[in-house]
Amino acid sequence: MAAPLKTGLPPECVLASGYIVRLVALDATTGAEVSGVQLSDISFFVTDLIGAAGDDTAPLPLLVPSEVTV
Amino acid sequence: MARDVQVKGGIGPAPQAYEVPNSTEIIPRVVFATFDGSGAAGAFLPTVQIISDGGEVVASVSTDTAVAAGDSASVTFAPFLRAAQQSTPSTGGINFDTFPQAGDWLYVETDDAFGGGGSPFGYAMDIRDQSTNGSGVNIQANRGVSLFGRGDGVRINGALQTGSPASFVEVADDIDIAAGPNVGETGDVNVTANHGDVTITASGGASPHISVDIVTGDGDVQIFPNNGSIILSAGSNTHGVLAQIGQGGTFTINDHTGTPMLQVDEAGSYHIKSGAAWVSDL
Repeated sequence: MAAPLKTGLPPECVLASGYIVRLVALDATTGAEVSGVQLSDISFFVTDLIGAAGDDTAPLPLLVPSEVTV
Repeated sequence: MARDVQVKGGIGPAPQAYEVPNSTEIIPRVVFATFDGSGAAGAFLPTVQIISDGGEVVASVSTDTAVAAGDSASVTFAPFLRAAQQSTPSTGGINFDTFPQAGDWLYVETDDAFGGGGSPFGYAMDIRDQSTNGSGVNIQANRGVSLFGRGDGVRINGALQTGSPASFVEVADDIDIAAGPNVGETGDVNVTANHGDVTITASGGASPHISVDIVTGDGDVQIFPNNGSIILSAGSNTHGVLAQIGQGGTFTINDHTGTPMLQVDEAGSYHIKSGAAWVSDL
């Protein structure tokens, strides 16, 4: 069973088009990425500031996963 | 009009990156993911990174606790969250600046290989008082303290500080120094004062029959001053100096070359150096 962990996010951080939110596993000592980690149950709860005009039920434009090299 | 929405991601190897599409602005409220480290190359910190549209990392938030390789963690990232506080050990822990800390027994063991590095000073177990002119290290027991060193033995070193007492091994009962205590082990008891005195004192106080005994098994008791005399002195009246030989042995006095000058055998016969004469002039 996966242990529950929690930590903070920057509050009220407005991310415009082109910004990326990246989930990654880092080595605690070197900061390098650790390979072999699988991600699942990924869920974002966000405030869509622009939204679809006048329609609260319209879905947020789909965020698709993509590899980004930083 | 702003609205809160949930976006679900897929399943895949880390890292997973999500780009805010055109004509959209969002404020992340909560990010949740399960990090499965069953195939991880090592321990890791689950992390969310926010990367600008210019490719710069503007925020990197990791959990305080690392996930060991082989373990998994379900991680919630949200503003103002902190990691769960570590619980304070209620019993059994050792803490600085805390008195008393008592328990039934304490066992500490290390397994650092010889030359493995150990502490910053190279020891597997290192207890130090590094303060300048501090109070020192105290090891005390009501039933005695046992020091046992296999291989390099037990070393007790003292560097004299100005104003400090001359002695640094002091007990109210016995001091036993034994080399090679087990069958098949051999070793020497060496007591050396490189630039000072070796003093062995059994003061006794008001108690009678307190003595200094130097006992060997099959070896000799040797006293070798490099540049001094050997003085045997009876401390008080009515006490003399006794030298007793073993059965069949002799009492011998040699000159500086090791050649016998005077020898008394068990029959009571005196043997003196050839050509020498008894001289009565003291």
